Order: sequence, then C-alpha cells, then structure tokens
Amino acid sequence: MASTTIDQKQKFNVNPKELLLWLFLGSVSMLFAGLTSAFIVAYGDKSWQLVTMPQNFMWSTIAIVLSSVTMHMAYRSAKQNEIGQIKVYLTLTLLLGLVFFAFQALGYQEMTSNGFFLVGENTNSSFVYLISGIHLAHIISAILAVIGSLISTFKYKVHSKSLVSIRMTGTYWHFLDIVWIYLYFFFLYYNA
Amino acid sequence: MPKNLLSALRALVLTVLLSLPGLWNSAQAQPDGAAIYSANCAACHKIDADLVGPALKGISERRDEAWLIKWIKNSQAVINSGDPYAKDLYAKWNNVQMPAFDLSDDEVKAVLAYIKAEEGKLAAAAPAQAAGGDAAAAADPNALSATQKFFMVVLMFVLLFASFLYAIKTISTFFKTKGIRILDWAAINGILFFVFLVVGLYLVYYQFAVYGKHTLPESASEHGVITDQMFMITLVITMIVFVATHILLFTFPYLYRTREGHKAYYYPDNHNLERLWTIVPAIVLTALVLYGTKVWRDITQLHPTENVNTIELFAYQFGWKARYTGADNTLGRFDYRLISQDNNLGIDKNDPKAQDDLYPMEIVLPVNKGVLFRFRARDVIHSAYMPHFRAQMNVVPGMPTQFYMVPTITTEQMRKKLNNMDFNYELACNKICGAAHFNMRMKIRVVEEAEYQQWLKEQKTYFKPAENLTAQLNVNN
Amino acid sequence: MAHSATEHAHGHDHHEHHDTFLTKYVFSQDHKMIAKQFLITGIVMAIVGMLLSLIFRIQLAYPDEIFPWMETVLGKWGKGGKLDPNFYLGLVTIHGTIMVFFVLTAALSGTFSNLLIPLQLGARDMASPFINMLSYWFFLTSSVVMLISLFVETGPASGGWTVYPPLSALPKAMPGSGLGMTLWLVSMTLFIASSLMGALNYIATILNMRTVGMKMTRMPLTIWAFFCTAILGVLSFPVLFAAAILLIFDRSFGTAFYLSEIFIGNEALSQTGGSPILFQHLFWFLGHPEVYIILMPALGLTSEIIATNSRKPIFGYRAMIGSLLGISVLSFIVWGHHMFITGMNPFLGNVFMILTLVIAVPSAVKTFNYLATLWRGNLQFTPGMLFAIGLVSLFISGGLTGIYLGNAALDINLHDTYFVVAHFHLVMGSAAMFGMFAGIYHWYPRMFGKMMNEKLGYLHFWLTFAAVYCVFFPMHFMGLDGVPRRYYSFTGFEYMTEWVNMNKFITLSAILGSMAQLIFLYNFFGNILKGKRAPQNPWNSNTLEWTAPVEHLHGNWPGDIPHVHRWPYDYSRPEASTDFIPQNISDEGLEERLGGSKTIETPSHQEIPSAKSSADTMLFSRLLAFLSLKRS
Repeated sequence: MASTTIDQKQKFNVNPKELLLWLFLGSVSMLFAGLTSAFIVAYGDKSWQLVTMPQNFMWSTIAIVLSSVTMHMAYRSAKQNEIGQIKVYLTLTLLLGLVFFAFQALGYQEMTSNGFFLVGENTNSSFVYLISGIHLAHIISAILAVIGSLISTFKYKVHSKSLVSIRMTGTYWHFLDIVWIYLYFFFLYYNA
Repeated sequence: MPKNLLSALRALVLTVLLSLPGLWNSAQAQPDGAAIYSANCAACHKIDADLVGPALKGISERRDEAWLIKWIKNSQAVINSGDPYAKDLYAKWNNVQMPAFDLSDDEVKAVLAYIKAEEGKLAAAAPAQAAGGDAAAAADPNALSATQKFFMVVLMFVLLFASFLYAIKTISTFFKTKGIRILDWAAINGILFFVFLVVGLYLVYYQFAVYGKHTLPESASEHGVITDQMFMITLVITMIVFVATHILLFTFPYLYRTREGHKAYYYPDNHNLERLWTIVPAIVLTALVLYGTKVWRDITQLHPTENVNTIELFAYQFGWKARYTGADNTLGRFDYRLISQDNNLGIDKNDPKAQDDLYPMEIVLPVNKGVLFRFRARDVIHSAYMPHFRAQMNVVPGMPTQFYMVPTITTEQMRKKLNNMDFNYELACNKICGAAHFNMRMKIRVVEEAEYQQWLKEQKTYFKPAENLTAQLNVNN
Repeated sequence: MAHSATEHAHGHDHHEHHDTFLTKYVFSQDHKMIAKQFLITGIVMAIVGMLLSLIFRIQLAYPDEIFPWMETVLGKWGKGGKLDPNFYLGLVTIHGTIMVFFVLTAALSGTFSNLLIPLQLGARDMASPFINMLSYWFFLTSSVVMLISLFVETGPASGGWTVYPPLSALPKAMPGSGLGMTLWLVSMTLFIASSLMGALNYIATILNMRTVGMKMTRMPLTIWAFFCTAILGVLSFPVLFAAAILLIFDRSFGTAFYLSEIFIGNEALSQTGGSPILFQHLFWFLGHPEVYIILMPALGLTSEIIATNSRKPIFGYRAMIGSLLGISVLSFIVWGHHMFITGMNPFLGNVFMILTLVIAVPSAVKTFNYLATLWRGNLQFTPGMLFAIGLVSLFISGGLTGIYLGNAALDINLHDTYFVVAHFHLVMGSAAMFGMFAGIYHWYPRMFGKMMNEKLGYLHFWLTFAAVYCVFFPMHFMGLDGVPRRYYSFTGFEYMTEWVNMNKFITLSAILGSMAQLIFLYNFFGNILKGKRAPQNPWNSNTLEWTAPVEHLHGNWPGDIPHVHRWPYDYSRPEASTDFIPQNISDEGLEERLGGSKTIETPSHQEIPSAKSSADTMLFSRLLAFLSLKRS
C-alpha cells in the first residue's frame, strides 16, 4: 500500500499524521462535549434520580493515571534510545489499560447490583453507562495503538530518530486519560 | 333467594335513578354523528376514497355493527385477539394503528348512520354526475387526464423554446459564414440581466398585489396586531434593500460588460465604505432586534395569569381534544398511564378538580378575554397552530407547554369583514407527526360573552356522571 | 511503494508508478480523482433527490387526481394511482436528507476542497491521501445505504430530514420509523465519518502544506472558505453523532433520553424523564453550522469566479476573510432559532434572537463586497460567472427572509410554514446549488482537460434562474397565509385550498426547471470525452491551479512546485501590460510587466497608483449620478 502521507516540506514542522491526530482529538472532544452537554440539559428533569458512583471507578481512575505515567516513561525511553525500557513501559501501559477496562466492567457490575441500569427510568444512570461506554470504546482503539507501538518496538522501528508514532500513541493515550478524569469528576459533581 | 332478589331490586332502583341525569341531558343525548365524525374520523378517512385509512363507503355492509363498535373503541384489542379480518386490514395499511376512541355505543351508531347518509348523498349525486359525465364524455370521448394535459403543456414549452433556439442558431451560423458576428454574447447576457430585473421586479410587485390579498386577514388577537406591525416594518426595510441591491446587481452586467477597449478599474478596498456598510446594517438590525425582544418578552412572559380562561388542548395521532376547566377554573390531574379506551385524555377520575372538567367537540372562546392554552401530546411532537391569531406552540409528550392570547374579533365579525359566511378560525397541526399530519384540525369559534356562557352550560363533562356512581355501587355489591 | 514526492531537483517523473484501472479510477488516492468521484456521485444523488421532489410536487398540485403511473413506479406506495401519505412524508424526508447532506455538503465541499486545496496552495496532494480515499468510499457506501432505504418494505425514514423523536424513535408512530429509520442512521453514521475524514485532511493540508511564499493572507478566498467550513465540520458533526447515538439507544434498547410519558400503540410506554427537546438542541447544534458548511464553500467559489471574470480584485479581501471567520464563530451560537416555539425558556429565545440577527451583518458585508467587485469591472460572461451572479441574487433574496425568521415574535406565525420552505430553498437549494454549478463550469477545464459548451451553459443558467424564482418566490405568500410545510395536501382546510392552483404553477415550473438540467447533464457528460481540449489557463486566472499541466499528473507539477510571490487578485493593475498577474510570477518576471517598478504587496499596505483619496468621492458620485440624485 502506498505511503499514506505526503512528505512535502511542512509549514509548521509538524508531521502531517500528527496534525491529523490533533485535529481528530478536537472532534472527539466535541463528541464528549456534546454528550456531557446533553447530560446537563437533562439534569434535574422531573423523575431525575442521583446515581452512586461505583467504587471501582475510583480504582480505574488510578489505573489510567498510572498508565499515563508509564506511557510517558515509554516515550522518554524512546528519546533516550533505551529500547528495552520502551518495551517494559509499553507493556506496563498495556496492562494498566486492561486493568482500567476490567475496573470499568466491575464498576458496571457494581452499578447494576446497586440498582442502576442502562435501560430503565433513571436517565442519569443511562447517561453514565453510555458516556463511559463510549469512552471505553475509544480505549479499545488506544489499546490497539499501544500494541501497535509495542510491535514496532520489537521490530526496532521505535528509537530516538523515529519518535512520531510512539509520540502519537502517547498523545492519544494521554488525551483519553484526561477525558476520563473529566468524565469521572463530572459525574461525581452532578451526583453529589 | 332473598339476597339475590334484594340486589336485583337495588339494581332496578338504581337504574331508574341513574337514568335520570340521562333524561335531564336528553337534549344532548342524541349524539351528533356529523360532529363526532368530523372531530374523530375525518382526519384519516374519506367516505368515497382511501386516504390515511380506508374509504368508509359501505362499511356497514362489510362488517356488522357489533364488530364495528368494538373496532372503533379499541382497534388494537381486536387485532390482538387474533381476528383474521382485523389482522389482515392492519397489515394492509402498513401497521398504522387507529387510535382507541372513548365513544359510547350510541355515539358510534350515530357515526355509522352519518356515514350511511353521506353514502346516500354521494350515490344520488353520482348518477347525475355520471349522466353529466356521460354527456361530457359523449361530447368529448378524448378528454385528457391531468397527466396528459401536463405533458402537453410541457411539450409545448419545450418545442416552442427549441424552435426559438434553432432559429437563432441558424441565423447566427448564416451570418458567421458571411464573416459577420451579429451576436455579442456579453451584451446579450447583460441585456438579459436587465430584462430579468424589469420583469422580475414587476412580478414581485404583481405577487404582492395579487397574492398579497390572499395572505392572512388582520390579526384576530391582541398581540398579533403588534407582531403584524413589526412584520410590516421589517418588510419595508427588507424590500428597500432587496430592490436597491438587485437594481445594482442586474444593471452592472450590462454597464460593465467586456467590450473593445474596456478595462476594469483596480479597486481592491475602501475602508470607509466597508465601515459604512458594516455599521449601517448593524444599527438597523440592532433596532429591529431590540424591538423584537421586547415584543417576544411581552408575548411569552409578561402576560396576566389571573382572570384567564384555561383550556387544555390534547394532541394525538391524529386529532385534537379540548378540555375546559369548568366552574372551579382548575384542570383535573393528568397521568399518561391512565389513558385508555374509556379515558382518552388520561385524567384521574378520583381528583375532585376533574369532576367538572368539560369535554366539548369544538373550541369556543369569549371575545376580549384572555385565554391560556395548555398543551399536552399523547404520542409524538405536534404543534398547535392558530394562524389567524398569530399563535403557535409545539405540543410535546412529557413536557406541557402553553400559550397566552386574547382573541379580539368574533367569528361573525370576521365573516363580515371577509365577506365569507363559511369562514372559520382553525387549529392546525404544524409539526410533522405522521400520515395524517395534514388533516389534524379543530374548529375555533370566538363569540360574545353571553353566547359563550350559554355554550358552556350545554357542554358535557369529561366524566359521564353515571360512570362514577356505577363504579361505587358495583364495589358495594 | 513509497510515494515520496519531495521537491527533488531532478523532478518527479523519475518515480514511475503504474496505475491499474482500480488504483487510478476506483481506489484512487489522488485528490483530483477523488474530487471527480465526489462530483459524479453527487450529481447522481442530486438527480435522485430531484426526481423524488417531482413526485411529491405532483401530489401537491393534483391532490385529487389518479395517476396510474404512480402505481407502476411506486408499487404499493402508489396504490390505486394515489400517493400514500406515509410515503409522501418519506419522499420529503429523503429528498431533504439527500440534498442537504449528500449533494450540498459532500458533493460541494468534497469536490472542490479536494480539487482546489492542493492545487491552489501548491501542494502535491492532501496531507493523507489514504484517509482522503476512505472519505470518498465512506461517502459512496453511505449514499448506497440511503438509496436502499427507499426500497424497504415499511418505507424509508419519514420524520422529515430533521428526524425529531419521538416520531423517529417509535416504529409504531409511522412505518418509516422502523427499518427505514435504522438504515437512515447507519447511512448518516458513515456519512459523518466521511465528512470528518475529509475535513481533517483539508485543515491539515491548509495549515501545513502551502508552498513557499503562500502566506495565509495570500490564499485565495476559496481556500479560506474551505478552511472555515472544515473547522465547522470538525467541531459540529461529532455532536450530531452524539444525538444519533442517543437516538439509537432509545430506539433499540429502550432508554429514555428523548422519550417521556408516551402513550402509543395502545399502551403507555415505560420511559419517563427524557426530553425530545434535547434531541433538537443536539441536532441543531450541528444543524445550524451545517447550513454554513453548505453556504461558505459556495461563497468562496463565487468570490474566485467573480474576481477572475470581473478582471478586478475581490473587493475587501480582508473583510471577506473577516466575515468568513465571523460567520464561522457566530454559527455555533445561534442554533436555538430553529426552536423558538418548542416551549423552551423564553429567555433563551431572546438570546438566540439577538445572536441570530448579528450573523446577518457579515453576510451583508459579503453581498456588498460582491457588488463592489462587479462595479467598474470588465465583466466576462462565462457560464460560471452567470451562476456566480445568480448566487448573489439568490443569497440576497433568501438571506433577507432570514431576518423575519430570526425575529422570534415573527417566527411564531412563520415557523414550519412555507415561508421557511421558501427561505431555505432560496438560500441553500438555489444559492448554494448555483455555487456548485458555477464551480463546475469554471473548473471543468481543470478537472477534465476539456471545455464545456458555453452557449448551452448560458441556456442552462437562464432557464434554471427563472425556474428557481418561479418555484420558490410564491411560497413566501403561502407561508404568510398560514400554510404549513410537510403537508400531504391542502384540501383539509378551507383557508388553504385556494393555494392548490398556485401549486400547479409551482409544479410546472419545477418540472420545466428539472428538464433544463438535462441541458447541463448533456453538456457535462458529453464533453468529458468529446469536448474541445482546454487551454492551460482558459480564464486567465491568477491562482496556482492553472499552472499545473492539463493532463492528469500525480503530484500535480512535473518539476518543482511553483513559489508564490503575491496575492491572487492582481487583476487589471493599471501599470501592468496584461490584465492579470498570476501568483507565481516573481519580481523579476514582474519587472517586465511593470517596466521596472518594485514588488507590489497586498494593497492595504501601499498606495494604489491612481488617485486613491478621490476614489471614495468618485464612487459616491457615480452612485448618486446613477440614481439620478446628482447631476452628472
């Protein structure tokens, strides 16, 4: 398959793929902005009930924050050409990402056992499931990106002279981390 | 046995007593089949042709009365019971359901009688029509259908135009062979723009003069007078801009068309001019908007809430039902879970405020008295549109809305003004709601206070009085 | 194989790649081919949308007639020669969806952004040709799905192109809200993905891949327009996506985001707590920027075509950029004017009313700037120029009625009537459409290397221009008489029946107007193969796309990409010997034309040779003379 971007001299010295990623993150931000705005509009309507945030979401938040740390360490290792370390940190990031996924699932279980369902008369609850679920779907794609970077590392394609792809994986990962922190505190605030 | 005899005797006495209110309302006991048909059936049915639902001609021959009564009161129940004719009919009509109607047996029978009567009228007219039609057909057996007429008009246009163009082409080619270019296309296009301007402005004027007379008559509500004024001011401003800009736009092409020796004037910007035509529109629009916000606020927020008639309009697929408050000036409690074939509006019959709620088949308003419409929808979003009163408000399920207005012109007065004795104020649905969206109507009459009070007295309550007592007594048995 | 098309001194032709039929015409990653793919698909969809409208126009003109051909063509939806009322609403819905999204968004933006962004900026291709190709294929797939939805048993989506719930959420409310609506949602999801991919590419290319000397303030206005459009798309389409996700959940999983207290199908649904108005907020948050996504490219194309064909700079280049930016920013905060009478808080109504009337100001500025560009120009009437002038007229007519609708108190009686139908058909269905036609006529030589027939172009323009005014202008009066839109027939209410005759006139005009498009189709398709070969720069235009060879070339320029030395509007400079100076002409090249003068910058920074200060008085003087208010 022909290379996917044109290597013309760049105006901003930003790799075109990265610029595309940043613009895409703008779109995704608007998606979550729209969803959380919908929540705000619906908030307080009659028959609105509060939802207790599951404890597991706190653990998942910790997991994802740690995973951003390990992701950043992986990038730093790449800058320093420590190939072995890149592999370690990327693997840790991957594992922490899966841990996040697991805690989210446990969180959903906790919610259903507390009587909060996706489908039912509690719109608040429906929103929490749906919005966090959409975030989780993005996490799946981010996990795939991390796996991709890991494979590239094993192929010796990630090093101090080839930082673009791992930096992009990192950007995407950190972005989703920030989105989750925003969502988590958003839901906590509105369910206090 | 004595116990059964006693209950039978009690039932007899009560039947006599309970029929007394019925006797009292005997004047209203004869249901008006035409009115019921118009309020409930006409949205989806015609007698002689299919519409949203099947044609009703011959319905009493196709199905017996008992079946029809069950069907009209709750078509979904008949379908669910497995009735093959019902299921077939439902499937044939794209599974679009007919709503359940809270009509009494007598009311259904009156409707069926009305349909039969209408059938008779149509049949009587038909032979005359057929005779006339035959005569017409005999006179012109080649009478064209609308499609054919259309095709002929279009074909005529095309042929005429094509010949005109062919003529131009031939003449132009002839002259070209002689080395003379007679067609200066730049000039032709320039002239065409100018012609378009003249013809266009004339046609715009024509439309205002002719179709302008067919727009809504003067406002029949207090606030409408103000919005109409605002409309006129906006119209004057926009028409000035429209005409002025178009004069420039359609004369420049001819004036500045390309031609021998003509050069353009290099003029990339002029800051003063640009400031001018930014600031002037901004000022004009600001003035319009400030005026608009004031009027909007007056209409939607600064209206009185005391000494006001409250009327609920309930929209459903496909019709309107009105509920008046009765003497206590309060509407009874609504709960959508109470909606049923006997309780189309979903009113709580245990609510004391609901007992005097009235259930008329048309909307009647006293002139010069404020009315607060409260809107509820049963199934999807509808919109209550009363254009003669400059009133409109969406009707949303789960979210009651309202609109306040003061009618100022009675129906009689408006009829005289328009010189049209058949005129009526109308309520129409103005938010797409399904197949019969175009036919959801309810008549509105504005009358003098005295006539209004009289009319109120004649209206039935929503809950039939017999209903409540029977329910109580059955419990006691 | 690597496609590294960097600026080698030895030129691009060393890299031979052999295209198969599939890679050249089907799965092309070349922006010029993708542009043509968008165009052809868009033309097909436009024909479909037009045919749908003719069917329902016939129903409106002849509500009581039997048309046997309806049964032949529509099957059960035309049973007995009468159009089924459910299917009428389906036709209206799919017509709106196709025209708004598939023709005026995807085809208009997709064609010209793809064609012009790299060529006018001096780039070899888009930032990511692969994603660009995906963008087209998602669009094609979404078009196919939308067309398939017309043929399902229960009918296509029928709740209007705005698909408000609960109507669109409940199959029991109308048959089209079943499978038809599901397919609509699938199609739109693919469409949103396509638009986003395109928009991301356009922004990245514009920001990052301009050639040497192409400062942002030397970009043609077309590029500025596409830039603003793409930003609007990136920021607003995801919110439609959010609205659609919530709707999918309500329809298929029983959630209550939009549904509350509904009794339908003889049962009370369990959902409570939802709000149908929420959908409207989310929908119109996209919906309003969407109409500017449609309009701005058309305005951008018009700026270019009017300047080139007036042989004059576009008047007020910086003001034009400013108004594009102003419209873009404002378009995000006016969506509530579609919802004045939903029963939302009246205070919000005030806010949206004020902001809506503000957005009229930059639109007015653009109109006056177009007029000033035409003034004292040297007007070349190509078909593109005619359509551009037509666009200005329709933009004025349609835009002015926006002022009534933006005023909430007036909107009370005009909302959802034919007044609104007239407004948006003039401003989108006609003005933006004319922009598309103007672009096609003007850039056809660039796309296909051939020329279209000019006389047929004139004929197409005049017939279409007359037709659109005949069809849409009378509708204002219908709206003013309180005739609602989306009505199957006007025979239900006495006060509306008088307009049935008007419907006959409108339908006749619509049919004649549609037939006029055959002239265009013949001209367009006929000349692709058999047309006269186009010269390098048929319109003597300044922009860079005319410096690339007429033959299809990967990477656009055979050697180095041209460098840019000036803005694109150096037309008819008084000291120059020719009436245009292309952007890539350097100072050395200029000296010949100017006889030794210095480089000339964008005019706002320098003195214009002829008496600048008296230019103002001259303008007013002429205006007054023209209006006979001053003795000449």
